[in-house]
Amino acid sequence: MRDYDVVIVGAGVVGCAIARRLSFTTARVALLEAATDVGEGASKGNTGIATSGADCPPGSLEAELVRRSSPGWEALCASLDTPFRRIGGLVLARTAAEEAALTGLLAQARANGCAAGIVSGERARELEPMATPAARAALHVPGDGIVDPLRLTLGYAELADRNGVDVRLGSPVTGFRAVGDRLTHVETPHGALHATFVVNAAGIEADTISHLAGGEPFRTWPRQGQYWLLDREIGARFRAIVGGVPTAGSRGVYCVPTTHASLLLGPTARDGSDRADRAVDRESLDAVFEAAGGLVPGLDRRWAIKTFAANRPASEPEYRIGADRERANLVHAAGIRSTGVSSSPAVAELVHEALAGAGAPVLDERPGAATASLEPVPRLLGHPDPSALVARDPGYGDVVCPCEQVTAAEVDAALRMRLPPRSVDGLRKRTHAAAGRCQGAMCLAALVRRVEARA
Amino acid sequence: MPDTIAIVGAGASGLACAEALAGRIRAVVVDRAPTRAADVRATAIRWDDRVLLAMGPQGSVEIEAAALVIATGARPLGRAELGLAGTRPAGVLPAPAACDLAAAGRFAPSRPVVIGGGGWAARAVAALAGTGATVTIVAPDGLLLAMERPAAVHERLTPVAVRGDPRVERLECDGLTLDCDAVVLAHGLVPIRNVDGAVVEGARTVSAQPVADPPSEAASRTAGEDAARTALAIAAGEATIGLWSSSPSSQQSG
Repeated sequence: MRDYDVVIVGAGVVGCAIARRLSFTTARVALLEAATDVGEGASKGNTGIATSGADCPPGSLEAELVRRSSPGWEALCASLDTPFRRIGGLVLARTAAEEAALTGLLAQARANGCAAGIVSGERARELEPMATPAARAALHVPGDGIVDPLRLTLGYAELADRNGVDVRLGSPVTGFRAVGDRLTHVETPHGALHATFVVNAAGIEADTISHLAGGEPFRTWPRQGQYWLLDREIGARFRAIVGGVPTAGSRGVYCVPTTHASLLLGPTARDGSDRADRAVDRESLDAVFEAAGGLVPGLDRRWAIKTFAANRPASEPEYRIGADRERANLVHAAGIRSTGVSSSPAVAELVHEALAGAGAPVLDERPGAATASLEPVPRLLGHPDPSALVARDPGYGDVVCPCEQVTAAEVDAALRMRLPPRSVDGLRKRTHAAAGRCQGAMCLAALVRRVEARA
Repeated sequence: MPDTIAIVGAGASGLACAEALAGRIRAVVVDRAPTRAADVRATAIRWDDRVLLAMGPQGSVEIEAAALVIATGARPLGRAELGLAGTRPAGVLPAPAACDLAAAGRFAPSRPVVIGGGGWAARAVAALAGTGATVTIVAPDGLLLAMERPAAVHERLTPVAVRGDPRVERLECDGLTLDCDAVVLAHGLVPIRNVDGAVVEGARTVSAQPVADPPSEAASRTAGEDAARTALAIAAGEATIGLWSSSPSSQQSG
């Protein structure tokens, strides 16, 4: 049995961000994940928006952590070989009532320390020519960005692994052992780990983990979101994130250009009870398309390449970050609802502080710790100088996935990662191969062969 | 204006196009598969109305051309294009991938459902029959080709949703639910268009991609010859059209 100073439960974007942060210290850290890959929950089904926090609840911890995270995205993503672009967001007002509501949204943004301004409908269409002519005015939030949430999660985990964090996939937590008010061991089907401190970053299962640990009670439940993914033939025309004025209870549907130039429409927001339910239904998808069509006219379903659903962790309370009230050595990073990507850098800092405050040995810097994950792998898609890529690696001449223009060089680099893909789906998460308009019709067989050859 | 027509795809349409152009203008056929019929082995990725950029084992290739002919064939509809709701389990495969993997012994379901009744469905049924599978056909529209004996055929049945997690367990159809351990998507045909700048519209681009099901050599040749005429008209400055502005059968101008 190995001893760890900190065992992190959950390798979603939050758990992986925490692992990266702790990997800069001399603490011995393990990262446990029930699924066979990182980022299998809410982290792989979201809009990919790195918000600057205009619409967070003022005064909330969420608003504070999103505000702290926002300025650092360019540097962070460069260090993790993760695509990021600060393209700005627009909240379109199409009626007099919505236009009046912009004043409140502007005040909210300012209360959150988020740069924003109200612009005319004409100016909104200059910023985003796809925006509906019905827009009378808009809230412009220039600090909003888009990120590849899967690459971000992987980048965090790769760097943590590189710095010695023991990343254990396929290791669900089945129980804890405790002495007095302290947890001593984390149990998995592969054996128990001795843990001086435990971090609960289990996303939608955070309540289960706290319950198993004998920690404080809180409640998490799935808030399901359904999405459309549209082709980059339409997505590449977008310059900004486009949303509508939120209604009570939901931020509504967005049109979000992705870092791969495709376009996401969604999400819906439906509270449910089945945590495994990732099914889409036609009514919800129709509603998303209709709402998106109200923001951007002329969206056509012939551009649809995929529909999907994911569950974000709704909770009571929200943003439960800090030491448990019952267990002296348990720290929660739970209830991070829909802003886990956007707040993950600052959540990791706060968890680090909470661990230090509880006496965990996380204050000494690890000598020689890497601050960047592996050598960046350029992508052929949209590259300004393809011939230079082939000169660098002949594998760039072999386009394996023609839809997303993913080359053998990129696939091989993914297969060489510290946390390599174990399936074609894992390869898709790392490279976008088979994620395009034909959804693998032309490349799936070749990808299967490449993954199996490495396995 | 360069005296070259670039043709992407060395199948029946692309080669018929090249043949029709022979002696009138230079034609360069590009194909990503290793085939002697192509002049350049490379994957075409971008077109900027003047230059085609392709990536191949020899590096990147730029072909300056007066017009671009897309002759990359057609594929069956994907999940979203079929409007299939439900989960996203393993075991739901596009027919071209399913055929490849079955032939390689890497896809051997015991109770697969094949959605479709056309050419790709027939190929999938043949490929799966070799693995000893009990195949059920769901043919959403009137098209049902003669094919190797499937166990059951449901004509004019519309698939609605896929269920199962992590692997597929059922295909829900309009009025009937089928238990299965794989679903092969083989219905319908859409042109494969993957050259950025010529995907849905583009200047100096012509499509030679018939979507007749089952595919026929004659339809492919006709599409290639039609495309050759249009491409020549573009090269002569008599026309400039985008892919989407005309159907393959009406692409004659100039």
